[in-house]
Amino acid sequence: MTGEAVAFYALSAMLVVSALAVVLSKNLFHAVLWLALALTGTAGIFLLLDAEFLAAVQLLLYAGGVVTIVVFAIVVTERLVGETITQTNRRIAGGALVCGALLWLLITTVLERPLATERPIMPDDLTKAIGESVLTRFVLPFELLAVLMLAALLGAIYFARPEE
Amino acid sequence: MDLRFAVQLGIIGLTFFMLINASAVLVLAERKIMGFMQQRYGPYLVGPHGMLQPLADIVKLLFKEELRPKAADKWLFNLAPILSVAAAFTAFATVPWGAETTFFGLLDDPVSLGVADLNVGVLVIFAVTSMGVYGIVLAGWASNSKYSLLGGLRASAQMISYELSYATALAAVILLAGSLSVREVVDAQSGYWLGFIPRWYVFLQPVGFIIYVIAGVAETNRAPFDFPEAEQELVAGYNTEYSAVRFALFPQAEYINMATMSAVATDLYLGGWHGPFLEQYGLGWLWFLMKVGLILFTYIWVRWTVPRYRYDQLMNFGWKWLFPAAVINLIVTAALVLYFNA
Amino acid sequence: MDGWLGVLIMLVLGVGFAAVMIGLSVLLGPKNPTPEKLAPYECGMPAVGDARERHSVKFYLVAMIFLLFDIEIAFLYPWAVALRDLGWPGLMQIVTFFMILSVGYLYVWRKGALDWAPAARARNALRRGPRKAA
Repeated sequence: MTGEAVAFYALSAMLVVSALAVVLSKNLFHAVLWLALALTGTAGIFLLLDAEFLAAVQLLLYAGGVVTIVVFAIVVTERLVGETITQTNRRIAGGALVCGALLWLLITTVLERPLATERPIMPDDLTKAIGESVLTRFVLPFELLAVLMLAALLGAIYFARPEE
Repeated sequence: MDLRFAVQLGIIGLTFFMLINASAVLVLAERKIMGFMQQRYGPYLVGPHGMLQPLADIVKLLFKEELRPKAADKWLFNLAPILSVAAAFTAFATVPWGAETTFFGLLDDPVSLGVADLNVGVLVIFAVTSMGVYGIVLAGWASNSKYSLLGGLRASAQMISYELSYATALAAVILLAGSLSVREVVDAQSGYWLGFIPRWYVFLQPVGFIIYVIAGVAETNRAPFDFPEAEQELVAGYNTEYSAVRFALFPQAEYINMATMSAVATDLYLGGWHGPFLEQYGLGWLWFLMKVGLILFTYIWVRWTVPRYRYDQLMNFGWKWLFPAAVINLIVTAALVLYFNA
Repeated sequence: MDGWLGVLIMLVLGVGFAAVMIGLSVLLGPKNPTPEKLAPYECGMPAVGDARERHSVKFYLVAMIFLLFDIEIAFLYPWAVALRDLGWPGLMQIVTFFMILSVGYLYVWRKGALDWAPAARARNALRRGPRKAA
């Protein structure tokens, strides 16, 4: 087995274990930390695909930013109703069924259309290529993203009015 | 295992070892400089002129009792200092500290002095520093003590606020160099203007440099922005409940982060290892060390000169002044680059 | 890919170093816990209640604003690398992006989410007071 394959299987195992831990751990704070590990593992998978920029952004935005938000949300809302919030798992059977169905769908789709195993030829500076395509070909979605982010910001302010 | 790989491993080991030493040297330097500024000796008894004081400190802490509040989260309480230190070491991994060298003809191909040269190095430094927040917020939460939790929350809010200014200031340097690789940014700064002014980006980005340094002080939770451990209000902030070695690991991470901040400033603004004379003999890394030392001295100097601000002043300054200034600096830089390139 | 191996080695060394230090200290240090030692730090009187209480929602707001501008920065970096090829149109697009976001930024500022001092909050409330009554 090549080093790449070893890394892939190790990362996948880490991803599956940490993702399961996210949904199964009772302590909300522990679940967030497992989520952080899962998101970091995803960055590792991106690295194996030679997507260095994407991996760095994954670490920056998801493992760094989103997890911080979730941590703050927990700390701010803890004991909101007078007792510590714990994570409950009441519908494990139903959840497992849905996940199994999704997995079956994914596997059959992948098997129907075998993916290319050859590595495509990449441009020298991928980051530059990303920058160019975002600001030329995909410039409209890019600007719309700003509008979406604006809406998110206003929504957050509305729900967490500091003054009232 | 071929020679080249062994040499690269050696460089990684050396960097790691020097970072551990750097934290010890910085502890001593801080106390000595503080003593000097307050007209006293500082540590003087252990070894000649107190040089062995950090060693004595760590040996003492090894033999101290580890305390943990009963209500604390056992695993996370242990994990927090480990994460802090690991993030500090990892952040330095993408900072090169010397030119490529063959070690006086020992190797066929030159190896680079530094742990890793990544195509997206600047972004990785930024991403790993943002993960350094974890250790602190975890320490605060796991301790289950009011002071710790408030200290941890304050620390993380402060760090994420200043991260924006810091990253935006760095983007202006990327504009000038046109690359995210730290080594390429450094090499873009070699040579001189008019034959004697070094082509360092600090001359093109004076505002950006100042923003970066201020945000760097806030990122490392140093005075005058040391709110996470404001003694008068929070005892010791997020590490109130920590004792013995686990307590020592947080300051160590802080000192390594200081070294990383200074090294990044040196690489991106002060021309890294480029400088007159020494470079021809393959000793550019001496320039690098001198520049880093100068910035570190400034850090310590500021700490013992400027009093702590209030928390609202910190947030005000970061969000209402520093961040807009960084954005305006970036756009003006971009316009100037385009104007002079066309 | 090679470079990332160095980052991984550094991470492993860092974790190893911290774990070894903690392990050594656990081995070498004395262990005689008493109820006082196991209580959280207090000054004068025993701490009341649990530390995990509700905290100011401001912290959450700051994190939210941070994440949005963090996303913006993730787009800034590739633009900064490709600046010379994209030229003036690229700059205009980034400035538009900034302008849209700055609407939110100004709104947040006016709403007082960036003010942490009680004094500033009181001032804002005063300024808003008469308008509400009118």
